[in-house]
Amino acid sequence: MNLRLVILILTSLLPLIGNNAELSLPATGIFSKGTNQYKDEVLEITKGRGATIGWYIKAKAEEEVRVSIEYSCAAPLNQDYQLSFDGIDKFWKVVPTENQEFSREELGVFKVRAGIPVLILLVPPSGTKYKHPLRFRKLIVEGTTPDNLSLIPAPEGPVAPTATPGFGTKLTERHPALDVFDIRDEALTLRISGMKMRGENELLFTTWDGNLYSLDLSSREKTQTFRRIAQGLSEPMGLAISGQRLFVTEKNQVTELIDSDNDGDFETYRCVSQDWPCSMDYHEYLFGAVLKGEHLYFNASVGMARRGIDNYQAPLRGSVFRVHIETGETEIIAGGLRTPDGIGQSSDGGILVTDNQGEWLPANKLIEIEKGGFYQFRSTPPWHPLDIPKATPPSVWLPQGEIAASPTEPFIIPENWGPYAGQVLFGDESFGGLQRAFLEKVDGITQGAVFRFSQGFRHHFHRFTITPEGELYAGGIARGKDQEFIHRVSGLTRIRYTGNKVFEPLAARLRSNGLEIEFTEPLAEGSGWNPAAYHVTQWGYQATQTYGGQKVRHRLTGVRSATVSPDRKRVFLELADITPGDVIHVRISKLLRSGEGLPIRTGDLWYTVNRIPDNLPGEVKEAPAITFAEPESFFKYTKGEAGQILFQTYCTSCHSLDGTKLVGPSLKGLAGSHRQLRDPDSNQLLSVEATADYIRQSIMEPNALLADGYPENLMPPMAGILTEKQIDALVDYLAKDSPAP
Amino acid sequence: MPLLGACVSLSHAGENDATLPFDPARICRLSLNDLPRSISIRQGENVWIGYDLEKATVLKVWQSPAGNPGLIIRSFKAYSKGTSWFEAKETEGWSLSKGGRKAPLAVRYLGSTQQDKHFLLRWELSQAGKKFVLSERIPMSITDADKKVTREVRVEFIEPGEVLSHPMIKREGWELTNSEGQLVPTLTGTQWHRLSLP
Repeated sequence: MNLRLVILILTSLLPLIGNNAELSLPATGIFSKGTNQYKDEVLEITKGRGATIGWYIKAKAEEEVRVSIEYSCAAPLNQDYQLSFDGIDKFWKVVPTENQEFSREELGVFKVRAGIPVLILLVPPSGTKYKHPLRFRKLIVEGTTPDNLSLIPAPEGPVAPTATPGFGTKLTERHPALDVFDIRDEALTLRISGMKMRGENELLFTTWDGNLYSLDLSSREKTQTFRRIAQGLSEPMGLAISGQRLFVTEKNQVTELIDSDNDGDFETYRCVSQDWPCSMDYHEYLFGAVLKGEHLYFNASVGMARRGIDNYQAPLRGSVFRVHIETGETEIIAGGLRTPDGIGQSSDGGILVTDNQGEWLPANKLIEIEKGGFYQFRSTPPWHPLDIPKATPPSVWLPQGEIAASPTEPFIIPENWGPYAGQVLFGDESFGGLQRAFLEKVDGITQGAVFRFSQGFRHHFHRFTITPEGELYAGGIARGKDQEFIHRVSGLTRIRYTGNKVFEPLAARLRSNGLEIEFTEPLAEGSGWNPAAYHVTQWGYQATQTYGGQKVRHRLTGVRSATVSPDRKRVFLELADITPGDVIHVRISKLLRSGEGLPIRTGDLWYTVNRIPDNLPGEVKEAPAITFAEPESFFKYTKGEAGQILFQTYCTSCHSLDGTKLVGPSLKGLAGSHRQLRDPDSNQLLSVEATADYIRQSIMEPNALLADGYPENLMPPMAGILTEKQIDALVDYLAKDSPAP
Repeated sequence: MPLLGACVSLSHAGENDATLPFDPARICRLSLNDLPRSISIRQGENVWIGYDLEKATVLKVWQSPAGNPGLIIRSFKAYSKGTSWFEAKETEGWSLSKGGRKAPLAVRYLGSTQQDKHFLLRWELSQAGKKFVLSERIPMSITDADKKVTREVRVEFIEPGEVLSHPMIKREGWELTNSEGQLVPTLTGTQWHRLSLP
């Protein structure tokens, strides 16, 4: 018997001899095994994707704990395991063990928070299937305080009220205060990738295929003529203008377009900088372009082509860079981003960035960039100088499918847009529409809320610019394989604010004891005081190296009281629980009315709590004696609609049910139909009946069999986003007319 | 699709497209043969010169197949097609020799300009605070019928006693001639030199 085995036996006996400061997290107690198999109490892990190897624990008191693993593994792995302990990451290079013997390895030392469910996740490499399993028996959490730690069941997510557009599901219509004109040349597909005003009347825009166009806005004829003024750009994704100087962020360099002889042609493409590594990865882009003084800011996305192989990233990808436009001197401002398609300026001159859910991003993000911030997209070994175990949180989480799917450029709403002026709008390449965010600073940290604003546009907006009159020009883009879809949603739109009165939540501000919601119009007299009119839930996110992420600690939050301000434009919700790092979701009852009798247009807001303000309590008052009669229930709860709501939330950005082609194929008539599929390994075409089993597999492992004509990795693996219970409900909804499997 | 906006039609005035600089049919700024920072320039009707912009050197020279394009574009990437006349083998880059000592030069790409008859590429070469500007001028048409391809090279800010060299010049078949048309082994002085492939 070797020494390692003796130690292992002794340590495994410790709980029996009274070390009750230690807690075992068994393989048999995890949330989901994915495609891996159990052998007795051991989980044989060959594939990370689809498995959620996690546990919730609770500590009575905060303390330092040591986490170890019991495992065996016959051979080394080409990638590391991740241990995520309440959001703090450690990587573990698996050490092969001898003769299938179990070994115990320490993974890290962490601090456990007191009183709240703490999630521990063991995350295998997600993209690779290994021939030999890692045989996993348990994790051991070792504290020093007896009886402090306990293993608890995963908190059940709260039941959501019945959803309608704007209240639990995506809006379907355009905002009533917006006038919209699509400006299209049906002969061309204009995938707009950069957009700025040059002077007061000239709109310049780049297209993904490498052209720069000019549109004269002084003409308001029914047919407007635009002309190409530059060509041969390499996948431009950002345009910035300073006076007559033009800068473009291309695939691998920042370029100034120069017209030295003033003949209208740009004969020089000056390389301002290309001082960062790049590879041939299709997904390496330089997104956006913001000029501040002498510096140009932009984002570099990470590569994705080798996700399923070794997860290689060229160094420094995922950064916000700034380049001096004269000297080309290049600096890293922040790191840890993934697909930061959007960059813009905040109202106080900060840099705003949006990022896209995926590996290391359990949800989409709106970030006011902190210099030196690291936003958690990691690779091993760390290739980014800013990589630190505790990531910088986003300013606002944008929950996937609920309010965003591929967020694009953020910009500040112009002054003449009524109550919304000064707030942030951003588009979305998949979710469509415009979403609105309100930001505030608490102790110097930016946080805030996101609101539904408008759908009902033809184009999927990517880039924006505002005229001196406050008109918004928005440019659409799409990716995918279906040319009809790409042509349909790409193009230019002019949007004007009309000033029509709309009653909806406008802003949300965190107080020490709750959340204050501001409305665009005063509430009807006597209404808004009933806490039952606000359905409040709360959750956190925990980033992992696998795609997406489920909500953590998803729970109902009690509303102790609701206090309406004297002007009836604000309601303070006194909350029973506010946890730093969590998202507070408020669903306001559809039954509320404005003082003028307007119905409330949208009811959802998501507030991200980075910091709870000290000594800034919201005012709590008793409801006035005379209130108008209110309904018995502000929300309805309908049994059996969970699958439909999940479909509306997570699927409709890419799949229609009416035959319309979007990013992915339409699912019209799916149940029981025969689908033309391609096996990506053999490239063979198969005809497969859409049974419940097939639907489940296509949701959990979309790369296993591909809809013919669609590439790998277009669809995210939903097993990393939805719980098993949610997947059951979604499969049930989609397969309700299928024959029994 | 609910509530589509009213539509204004847009008409593309395409009359200036052929005269705009950086016509992708002649100048391709997409990656060439899986090298991320590269450019391909067509000389005459069917000769292509591909440059490695990070090394300030020619990557490949080739002739398009008769009647077919010499560049195949797939998913924003360009691939050469046709008869290869030259492919870079050297891993060594530009160096500066002075006083019997030789030192490698760092390369920074400065950009490109389309002129009436030439396409100009520029780099900054530097070593220990000393900076040179290397310019390459590629005639857009064939200038010398008995050469497969011709380029013109010049270095600015070079001082007497300083010599710039690239191993390709000596070892891989390129002929370097000075402004008087004499064959020379290295770049000295600031006049234009000619590099051609016999």
